[in-house]
Amino acid sequence: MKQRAYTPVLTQVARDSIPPVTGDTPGLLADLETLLPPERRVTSPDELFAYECDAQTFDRALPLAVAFPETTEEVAAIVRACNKRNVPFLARGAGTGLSGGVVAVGALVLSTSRMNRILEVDAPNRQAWVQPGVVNLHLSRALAPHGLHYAPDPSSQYACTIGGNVAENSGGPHTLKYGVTTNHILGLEVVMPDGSVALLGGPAPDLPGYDLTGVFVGSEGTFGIATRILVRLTPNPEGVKTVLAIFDTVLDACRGVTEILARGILPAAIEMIDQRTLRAVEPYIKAGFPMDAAAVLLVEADGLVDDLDDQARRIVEACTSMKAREVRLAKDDEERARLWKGRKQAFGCLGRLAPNYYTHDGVIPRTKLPEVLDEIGRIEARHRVMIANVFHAGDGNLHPVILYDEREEGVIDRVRQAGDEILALVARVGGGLSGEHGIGIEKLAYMKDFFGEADLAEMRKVRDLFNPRALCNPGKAVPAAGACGPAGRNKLPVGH
Amino acid sequence: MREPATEDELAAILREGKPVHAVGNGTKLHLGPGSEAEPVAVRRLAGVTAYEPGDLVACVRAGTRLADLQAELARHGQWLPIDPPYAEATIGGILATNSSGPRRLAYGTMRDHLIGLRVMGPDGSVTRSGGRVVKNVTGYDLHKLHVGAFGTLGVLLEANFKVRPRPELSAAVVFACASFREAHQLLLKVHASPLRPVALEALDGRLKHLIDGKALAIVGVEGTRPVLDRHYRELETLGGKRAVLEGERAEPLWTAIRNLPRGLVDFVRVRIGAKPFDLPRLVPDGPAWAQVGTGIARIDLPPTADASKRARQLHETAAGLGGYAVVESAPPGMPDRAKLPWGFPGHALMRAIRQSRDPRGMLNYGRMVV
Repeated sequence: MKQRAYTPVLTQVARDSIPPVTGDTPGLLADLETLLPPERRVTSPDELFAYECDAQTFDRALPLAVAFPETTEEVAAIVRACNKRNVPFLARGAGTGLSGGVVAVGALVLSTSRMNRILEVDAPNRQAWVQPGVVNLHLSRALAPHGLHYAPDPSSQYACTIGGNVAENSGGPHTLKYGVTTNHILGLEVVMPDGSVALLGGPAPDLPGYDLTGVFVGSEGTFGIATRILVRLTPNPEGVKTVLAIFDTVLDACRGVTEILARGILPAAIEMIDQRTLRAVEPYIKAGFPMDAAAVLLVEADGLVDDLDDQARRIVEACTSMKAREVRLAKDDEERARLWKGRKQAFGCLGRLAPNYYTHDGVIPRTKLPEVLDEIGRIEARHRVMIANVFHAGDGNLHPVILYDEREEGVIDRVRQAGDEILALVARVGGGLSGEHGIGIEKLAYMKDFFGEADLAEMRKVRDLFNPRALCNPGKAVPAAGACGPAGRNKLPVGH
Repeated sequence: MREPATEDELAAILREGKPVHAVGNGTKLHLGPGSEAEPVAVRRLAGVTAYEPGDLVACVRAGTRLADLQAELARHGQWLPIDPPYAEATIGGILATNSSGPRRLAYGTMRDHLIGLRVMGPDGSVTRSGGRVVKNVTGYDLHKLHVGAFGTLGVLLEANFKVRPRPELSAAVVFACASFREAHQLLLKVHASPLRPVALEALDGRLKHLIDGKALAIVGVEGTRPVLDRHYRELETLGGKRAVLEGERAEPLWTAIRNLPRGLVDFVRVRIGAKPFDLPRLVPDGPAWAQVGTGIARIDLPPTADASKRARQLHETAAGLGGYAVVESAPPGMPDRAKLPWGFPGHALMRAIRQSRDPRGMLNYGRMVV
């Protein structure tokens, strides 16, 4: 590969938040050589390109190096070396994140990809210790012989890791009934930012003391590096019914969501897929989606078989009463799997429509879905962008996907403005900035629209107790005091 | 006892700079070593502040009784799926003590339903974390720290919860067993079966006035008629003398079980936490009550000089299996009460967090060992 001068691509807010590296980087690289064999470190710029961003590509930078530890002890030794050399570091799983949480501006990256062992499955007690690099779906597959699974199922579950899920407090379609990552993490072994090893939580319920596990989950890698994770396992449902409800207007589909919940039904999942997405997905996945529908709802009921038919019938009735033109019940596991494949690979399929996409994941009160989707349609028209909506409707967790071609002059400005307006809308209806993708660096500038300065100061205080030297994933998740005001928001990435 | 009527009045009390002991309706003052600070009741800071049934989210001031919130939710066929003890218990008190009841087996505790919190620091300043939507990763989950913190990190003001549709039907299937151990084992068998009980409670013979038996094994079931019938059918195959109490008929029993935590103020009550299948071997003979499947047992020791030693021994054995034992309550005035093992020092970060939130130890000092 031909060498070229490298310029990081960082938004203003990223440059404001992430401090420059001032430590002894040659010293750290020398330390690494004593700590890891050559095949477990990457330092050449050519290879480092693979680690310049996550699935959110607005912010990109090269790390100092990438280390591939295999044990807790190796992680701790590397972190201690970083402390000694005063060089920032961060952990990286599969890099499927969507908020720039693993962008390393000259920092050392500790990849968890070689820490991918399921250490211990305790099936009767429904818990398992795993290393952070275990892929979410691999865990559930390994548990199948026990009739158990790990409940949080992000759409990227075929690639994303449990360590990354812990950092982001990831969700997924089935969190409507089963809760998000934080509801399924019992304990953590953590290499603290100073290189010490701590055990938070554990296998027993209601441990006395403060819930450090609870506050660690979702801290986006700024509180330390989880090196062993104790997950709660969920028995597989005895039966599952999956319903595809087809609507001629998005509004009716939204009303279908609230009607299902209003009738006292709590499905395992309610997902919405709009026409644009259906048309991108269907030719490729052949999930059986109608391409002329305005939107479909994918609704799943699970549990004991005894009343599942009844639950499915009530879901069908609720959708029909909101003018669903057709409601189909998946007839077997194969059809069910196809429908879910269509949903979970939707983001990938949208890549067929445009080379780049940018997605937000604001969460809104469910009853606001109709008006918010309506307004997103107006934002789309106003900024001449293309927006697809495929999201966790039952949770009110939007995923407006703005599709664009970065080669088009001026398009990034319009994409960002559309994104800004969507988030302002989310704030206006009392929503949350991010449901599952995290703040990372990408959403830092918006935090002030959702929290006051005193709230953010409390968050920084707790972070600084975990991470007093600010070496562990600096500049992410919570904006620095006084940084990233409105001025930072709409600035174009530099380096383009 | 002072009872501020507004948050401003509460802030003014805190700004006097004297230690306070924030309480709700005082239903759980028996838990923990105890605070000598001036009690300040926040029960007048009450009321549901926002509730849109279609959103399945309710926001409520901390001084509200859970019963009042449940009544409001029930009008829309919904509930906050927790069933902690004491009719007078407030939302703030339940959060602060991480209080839970039998149904936690299926639904979890306050920790699992809390989505946002506003709290007041010792200087009267108010901050919040989380929000009013069911899924939210905006900012750190600082509210998790307050659940079970006994008010030592701030006075709880307002909490936001995910709520759920109320189950159509509920029932308790009660087995009369020959011993506590038999009851415990029977319920572990149910736990390992395909059935989906919402509660599994093993209890010694102390509820004789309600149901006769040396010990009881109680299976809570919720859902539609076919789901209840399925449970009845399969539980029947376990044999033994049993009674089925449906709906309201089960309430006296549930209430009695829930209120057991305070029922015996004459004993040293020890809570043992462990993995569910490790629990039977950690519970000594004597008065006992276990939440099977959850992994919690409570045992009562005589308030004698060696209670402390016995509790510590229980902890050592449990700790070998990743569990623990701590004293939850003890008779007031018992000798060396303060020296009982009320907790054990956790990670130094816990003390650092407390020091940072409340450097002068003004809030609920003594309620919990950090």
